[in-house]
Amino acid sequence: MEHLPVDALFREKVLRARAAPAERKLLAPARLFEYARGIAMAGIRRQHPEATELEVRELFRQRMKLGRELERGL
Amino acid sequence: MLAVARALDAAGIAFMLVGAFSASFHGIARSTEDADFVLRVDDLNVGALSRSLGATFRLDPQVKLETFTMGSYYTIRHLDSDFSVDLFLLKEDPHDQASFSRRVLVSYGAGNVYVSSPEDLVVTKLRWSQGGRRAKDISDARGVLAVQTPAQLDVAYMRRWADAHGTRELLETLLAETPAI
Repeated sequence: MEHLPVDALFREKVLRARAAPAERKLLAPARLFEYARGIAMAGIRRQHPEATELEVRELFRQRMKLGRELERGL
Repeated sequence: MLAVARALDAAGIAFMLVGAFSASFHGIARSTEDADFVLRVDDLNVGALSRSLGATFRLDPQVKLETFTMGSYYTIRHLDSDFSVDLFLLKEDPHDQASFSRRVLVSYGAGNVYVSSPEDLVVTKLRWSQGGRRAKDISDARGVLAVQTPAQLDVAYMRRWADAHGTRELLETLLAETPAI
């Protein structure tokens, strides 16, 4: 796989954003959140294999809360 | 997010989508766990809006205060996804008022949504970036400046508000650093 320099990646992101239709741009943050949530919950399941789905969701909410607190603590 | 926009529209409440969703619309998309709306409403009918949203949403009837921006807001949680939506009440603040009057109508397949203008998004992001220390605010502003290009933006408007908010130096730095693509 070819590794692009960082400014080339930024350029690619800008060009992709300009080309994206309005609806995709409007929904992108929620779609990306769902993707990130899925990965985070998979990580929680791996870390806590004994946890029920309800417990995994609660742990995910705790992680989101921790993230907000870390952000506020800047 | 669009379900909330539709419910607000149906209730006849003037609104504007701000924050990460606006930044993603005008700039480079990023993930966020919540959507922020600004509402121009005298008295929010929480019960009616709650009913209009349906059973998969929970609207907390208690109004909260955001201590940093001093904004009053309600929170809606989407029960299936943990995604939340904050409904901020439009403040008397001169820039908030100007921003709302310049909101942009976006039409998509299923309807219309108003979002903050790219200029007002940048001005707001710089204002609340704590002197540039909140990385995501700076990253959002840089993304908007790069995607929209300074030629497509009302730079004089952004400079006026940046002067008023004490963020002019930060704005000039971002404008100078933004690559022409």
